[in-house]
This record gives sequence, C-alpha cells and structure tokens, in this order.
Amino acid sequence: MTSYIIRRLLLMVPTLVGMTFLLFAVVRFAPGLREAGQANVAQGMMQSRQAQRQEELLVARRLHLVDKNGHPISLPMQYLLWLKSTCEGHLGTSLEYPEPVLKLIAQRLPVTLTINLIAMLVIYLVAVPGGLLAALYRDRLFDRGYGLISLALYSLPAIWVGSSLLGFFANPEFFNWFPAAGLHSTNTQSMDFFQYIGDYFYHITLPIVCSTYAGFAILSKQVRGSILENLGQDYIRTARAKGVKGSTVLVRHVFRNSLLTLITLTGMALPGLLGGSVIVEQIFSIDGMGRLAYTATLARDLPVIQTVALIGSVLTLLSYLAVDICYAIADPRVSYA
Amino acid sequence: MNNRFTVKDFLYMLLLVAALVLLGLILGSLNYQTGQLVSLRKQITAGNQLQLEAISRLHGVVGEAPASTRRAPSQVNIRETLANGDRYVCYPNPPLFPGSPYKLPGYAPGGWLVQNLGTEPHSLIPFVTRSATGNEVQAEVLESLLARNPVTLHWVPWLSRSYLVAKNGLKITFKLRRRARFSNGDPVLASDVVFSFNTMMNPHVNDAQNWPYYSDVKSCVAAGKRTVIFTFKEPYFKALEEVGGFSILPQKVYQFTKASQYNTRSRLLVGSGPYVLYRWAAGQQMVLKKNPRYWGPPPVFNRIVFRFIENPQSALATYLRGEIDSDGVEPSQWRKYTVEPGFTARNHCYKYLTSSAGFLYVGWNLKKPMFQDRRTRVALAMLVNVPALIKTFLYGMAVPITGPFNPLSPQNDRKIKPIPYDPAAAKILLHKAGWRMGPNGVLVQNGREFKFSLLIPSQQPLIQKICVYLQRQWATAGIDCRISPEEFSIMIRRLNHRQFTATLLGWTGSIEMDPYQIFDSRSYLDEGSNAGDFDNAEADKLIAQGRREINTARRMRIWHHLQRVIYGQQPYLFLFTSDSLSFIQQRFRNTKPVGKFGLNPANWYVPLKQQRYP
Repeated sequence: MTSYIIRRLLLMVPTLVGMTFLLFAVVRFAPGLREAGQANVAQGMMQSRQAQRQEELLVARRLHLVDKNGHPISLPMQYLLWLKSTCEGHLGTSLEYPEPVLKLIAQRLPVTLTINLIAMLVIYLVAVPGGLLAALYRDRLFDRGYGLISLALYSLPAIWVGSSLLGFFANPEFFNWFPAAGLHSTNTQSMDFFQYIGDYFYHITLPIVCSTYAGFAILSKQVRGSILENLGQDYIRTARAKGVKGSTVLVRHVFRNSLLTLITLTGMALPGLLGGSVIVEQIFSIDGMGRLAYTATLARDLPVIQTVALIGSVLTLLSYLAVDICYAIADPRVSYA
Repeated sequence: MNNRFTVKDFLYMLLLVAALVLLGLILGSLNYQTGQLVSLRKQITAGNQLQLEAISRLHGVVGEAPASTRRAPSQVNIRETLANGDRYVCYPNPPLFPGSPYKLPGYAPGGWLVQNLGTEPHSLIPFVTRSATGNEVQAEVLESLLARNPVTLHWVPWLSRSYLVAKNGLKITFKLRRRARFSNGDPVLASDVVFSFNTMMNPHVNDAQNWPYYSDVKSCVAAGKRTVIFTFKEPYFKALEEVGGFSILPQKVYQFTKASQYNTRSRLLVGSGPYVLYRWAAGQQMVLKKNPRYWGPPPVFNRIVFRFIENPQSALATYLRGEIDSDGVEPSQWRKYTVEPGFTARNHCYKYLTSSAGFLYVGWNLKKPMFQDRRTRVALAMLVNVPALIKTFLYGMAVPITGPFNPLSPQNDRKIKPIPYDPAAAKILLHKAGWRMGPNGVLVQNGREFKFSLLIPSQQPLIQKICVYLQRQWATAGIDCRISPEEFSIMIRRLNHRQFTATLLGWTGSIEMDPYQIFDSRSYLDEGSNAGDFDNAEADKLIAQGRREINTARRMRIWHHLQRVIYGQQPYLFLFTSDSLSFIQQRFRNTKPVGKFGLNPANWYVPLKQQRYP
C-alpha cells in the first residue's frame, strides 16, 4: 500500500504540471487580461488615460507580462516564471486587494469550510437513512413520496430558493424568523462563547437550508440503488437463510457493502467543500471562497483565479487518491499490493 | 486488510466532521473576538515601535484627550479679497456646517450607527484605495486641509486655519490649526502635509489614479512648523480643491523606507478625524470608535458599524428587521414601501438629488459615418421620450439632463431647454440628413442601412430595460439598433480600442467637473476618455479657457457656453441623473438631507432613551 501511495504521489507531479499549463493557458487567453485591475472601477468612473496606463503597467509587471523596463515577456517565459514562483510558494498578491492571495484564501476558507461541512453533515444525516428506508420500502408510499420530494427539491434553482427563503423567512412582512445577511450580529463582541455559537447557527440556518435541499436527491438515490443491489445478492439470502436477524443483515452486510458508493460520492464532494457556492454566498452576503473566486473572475484578478484553481486541482487529485485508499480499507477485495 | 470499514467507522467519520465544525467555530469565535486587533498590531510591529505606540493610543490604551482639544472662544471668520487681488480665507475655529445637531432640543450623543456599506473595501490604504466604500470609511477617520460647506459650496479651512490664494492662482498658502491633532495625540504639522503629498506622488505607491490631478503642482514645501505652500506651473480652477482636499496622514505612523511597506498595510488607517478604526472582521463588519482625542466638533455616535451586504434584497430585509439603521434603496423598493400607510410613519424616507450623482448617456462613435451628421444625432434624441422613460423604469425618480453637468451644480445652465420628444420632427430631420426608407423597413443613406449595435455592460438589468425601450423608439423611425451586452472589462477594452458604434454608460458626477477628459479633442488620442471622438474647435477653446479661469463667476459663464455647444452638438444622447433614495430608522433625529451633498450621518443623533447600544 505504501509503495502504491508513493507511486500515485509521484504520478501526480506530471499531472499537476499539465494542469498548471492548461490553467495558465486558459487564464492568459481569456479576454480582458489587459484591463485586469480596472474592472473594479465603478461603471463609468472618471479615470484619466494616464492613470489607466500607469495602472496597466503596474499590473503587467506584477503578472510578469513585461519586465522591469516595460518590455514584453514571451508566453513560455511567462509560464516558467509563474511556475517558478508558485513552486517557491509565492502565489502572488491580489490585484484587487493589496494582500497576498494565500492570506485572502486563509480568511475565507474557514467560513466556506464550516458551512459546507455542516451542510454535508445534514445531507448525509437525511439522505443516507432516507435512501435506506426508500430501499427497504421499495415501491411503497414512503419510497415514492421521498423520491418525488427529493427530486422536486433537486430541480429547484438555488437562486430562486435563496431569494424565496430570504423573502419569506427573513422578512417582517411574513415570518421574521432569521437574519437576512452575514454570519454574525452587530454586537457579537459582547457575547460569550455559547451565545456566539447560537448567534452563528441562527445566521447560517437559511444558507444551510439553501445549500442542502438539492443534495438529498442524488445521495439518497445512490444509497437506495446500492442497497437494493446488495439486497438481491446471494450472500444476503444466505445470511437470512442462516437465521441472521433482519437488522443485522441490513447494517452489517447490506449497508457495509453499500459504503463504496458513499466513499466515491464523498471523495468527489471534497474539492467542492472548499469551492463554496457563489449563489448562496451572494444571496446571504457571506464572504467565502465562492464569492472570492467569482469577484476575482469578474475583475480578472489573475493571481487569485490561478491560486484558487490550482488549489482546487491539487485537492481533486488528493481526493481521488484518498478515495482509492478508502476503497482498499472498505473492501478487502481491493488490493493495491 | 483485516480492518474493514464498518458502519461504526462511518459514524466515527460523521463525528469527526462534527468535531471539525465545532473546532472551526471555536477558532472562528477566537478570531472574531481578538483576531482583528492582533492583525492590526502585526501590521504595525512589522513597521517600528513608534507605530505600535500610535496604535495603542488609537485603541484608547494610552492617555486621555488633551486639554488642547477644548474649543477656543469663537472669533470672526474672514473671507475677503485683499488689495493686491489675493483671496484670503480664515476660520479661527472649525466651522459648524448647517444641520449640526448640537443645539437641537433632545440632542444626546452616544449610541451606535449601523450602516450598510454594500461592497467591502479591498483595503483602507490612503490614496491607494480606489473603491467608493473604502473612501466612505476613510472620510470618518482622515481629514484634509479644507472642507466644503454643503450649502454655500465654499471651501472653508478645516485642518488649516486659513488659506491665501495668489491672484494669479499659482500659489496657495495654508496655515494649520494649533489644536488639530491626530488620533495618536501628535499635532498636525506642515511636515505631515508635505509627507502626505509626497507619499501620494511617490511613483512606487500604487495610486496612479491620483497623479494626473496634481500634475500642475510644482512644489509643496513647509515654511515653518505650521505653514505649507503649494506652487503651480499653471493656473487651474480645481487647484484649491485638489491641494486642500487630499487626506493628511501622520508621518510618524505611516513613515516607510520602501513603498512596498506602504502599499501592503491594507488595514492601517490613522488620521485626525472624529473616529478611529477599531476592528475589521473581514467579510462581516468594520467598526469605528469615537476618537477620544478629537480636536474638532465632537462626534455624535460612540461607534459606527459598517456591514457589507451587497444584495439589495438582503440589505432591505436586514433594514426592515432593524439590524441596520439606514438603507439606500432601489426605485422599485421605494415605490413598494412608501405607498404603505404605516411605513412612512415608522421610517424616515428621503428622495433627493446629490451633487455627486452621475448621469446616464448614449455615446455615439462619431468616426462612424452614420453619426457624423449633427441632424442625425439630434433626430435620435428627438425619438426618445426621456420623461416617459424615467416614469416607466425609475418610477419618476430621476431628472432629465441637458448636458454633462450635475443639475445641482452652478456649472449647469438651467436655461437650456431639453430637446423635445417629437418623432415627426425627427423623421423630417433624418430625411434632411439624407436617410430614406429602404425596402427592409430600415433607413438607408448612400446605400448603407441605419443599423448599429449598442454596447452595454452586462449584468445591469436597468440598463438592459432602457436599451429595449430605446431600441423600440428608434425602430419606429426605421433605425435598427441591436443590443450588445459585454462584461465590463471587455467593454472597457472595446471602448479604448474604439471598437464600438454606440454605447450606453454612465459618468460619475461632481460639484464642478473638468470637461477636458471627456469632451476635449485631445482626449481621443492615446485611448483617452473621449471615446466617441467629439472634435469641436469651439468646445476645445472653451474648455481651455474654463480650466485656466480662477474667477468663479467668469468660469461659470464659460461652462454655460460650453454646455450649450455640447448639447447642441449631441455627441451624447443625455438621458438622466438618478435620485438617491434612502430609508432611515425612525429613532434617528435630524436626518434630513442638507444642501447639495444629501444625507449627512454626522448630523444624526438618537434621543437618549432610544439608544440601542452603549
């Protein structure tokens, strides 16, 4: 197993280099690069051409588009310079925020991660038992009702649900139950820890609802399918014929063997944990990774775009590796020796 | 592989996730409680010990307000032209502008003001910050040599006690107030003014946007401890505004050896203003605290909290829940709520025009043959019913304009009559310009159909609606307009490269704008802001005259003449300037807009019994 992991890690290096090349190419050939750093200027704000030129030159220098004397640098050299500074851990300074990109990410990552982990927890706690019960009561009222509701929820656009939640549950005209924006109240600093946690959960209720409702369908359908598949297997019949209790068969044999599906889905969800949802963060005014990536894209903030994409790429590779390792742990038939 | 992954392991995994969430919350809580101060201190310790002391004082750790901050007995203000033609203005005490709350019955200082800033500023570095929201925060902390009276619009001494403008406009001398102090207790000295100016003009400080406005300044020197002299290469009508309006920084706090040190202190904000930056929780809120050492008129609120809610729907919901104290609303929101009988009684609702409001226009690329004839451009304007457009899309909450100047500005000539909505006259004008109806129902001139694309920024629903309206209006006369939405950075590139036929955009406004940037023929060159190539010799001459004219009355006459020329030539189809719309919680008093700057929260107060936070 150890040699397999080392092999996989070594194989990741050329994959990563290829990814960086693609990433660099896509970002550099995207339109609007030259205007990077200007997109945040309010619409039509007066700015003289001289000022624009100075800014463009500063931006060009920071992006290694030109050298210190203002002479253009060739694309392959730009790529190598970027790769070199990335390998050295210098991921650059944002064009929009005068701060290192890593610092910006470090500020926003805990916000997104916490919300997404809670959302993931809720999704698993609802969808796994839901899928299990749907499989057990196959083609009966619960199965059909649960399937219909989860699919109906899946088909609702997040932007509509978010706006509706806001309009109905954070509005004195209807139900003034939850706050409409942010993660904290104004006077949080005067709260003790438990009040702070309560206030936090009070604020994230609607964003969590908005992040989770669509997630139930896929997971529960997968769990249901996987459990149904295992229920029809010979070893289950054998276990039952041996007189093993129904619940034991279900938990120890059926569910355990259905975990491979869950592992795959969890592995695929890992990079998404850091990505954040632009829509949810935008509607509920949460300053997370999704919003950072979105505003960086609009403003052509290349250092931020490249770093976020690079981190996403690395995490995707690592999560695939983690999934493979989990397979080996969960299923004795899988061996990487 | 004996260790199989069991259901128990799955539950452990869930437990681990829950533990991670809890850990994240605890860390988040700790960060929220202390992190911001730590972050500020880290920034300072990266500098020097002196700055650390400054920040300690900033947070009220050291010392009380010095006796020197007490108000001196009032003396007479002077505003006169001397015998030699120099203009002298002296205010022995900082002026109290109209709307000040101090003498109102029931006035009580204290409480908090919670406002929505919308977009979070990227940084608060003086001069470097370009966002309007960053400037809004800075305005509470930083001060300049002069301030503008919102009613008379006169520049009056603020950090300075007096100023003297030479008759030829080439020299301005400021004398500083003795009692003016930074929040760290240091007096405001001429060396701080010179340091601030030099920092702003430092080629390695990332504030290139400011340099062109100061290109005519020849020197800025300290003549003694509290006297600063600015000299200019040429007279310029905005010279006093430019040199009297930039922020003065404490040299001891901001001093740097490399510009990169200055460029990266994104959270350092120390000035002489009524508030100090107390805490900045990224993505959440920014808290300003009353400056205990403030030398001027005492600030009303103990704290000002800025929250960052971009989504208008969320912002309004937050306002309605009482979590923010004021909210700038959209016309549709205004219309919905102000018709409710109880709402206007429970809230202050204000609709007003400000001098900083910009205007919306359709800009023609005059290089394109179809727009070169003035009659065609006037006809295009005649086909648009601007008042109806305002009524339909902005529910009447905007003002039609007759030129590029703000309707509240003395620069604007109110006598100019708007081009009337007259489709019949427009068709006659188009006929005179050589346009004939073609077989496809589209006008044709010299074999070319009157077809063009209108470049607009995407993600702007209001602009898109207006475009559809314009498209329909022009179609009635046989003009085929196609809407071309582009992302803003792409749009800038197309404008800079002149790759457009027509565009719908806006310019920000000011009390007195310099028309050189947009309407002088030289601004077409080098990708300047005169993207449509408006090239009019008379306009160029008037712009040059106006920019060099120091006498206000004479200059206004020049601007009025210029406005008539520009409006007559129609390089732009001038549409409207929007009203500002605001809701303010009822418990606030003295909230009415004052003068031409609109709302001024510095005048607001909450009666003692209704104050929410200590």
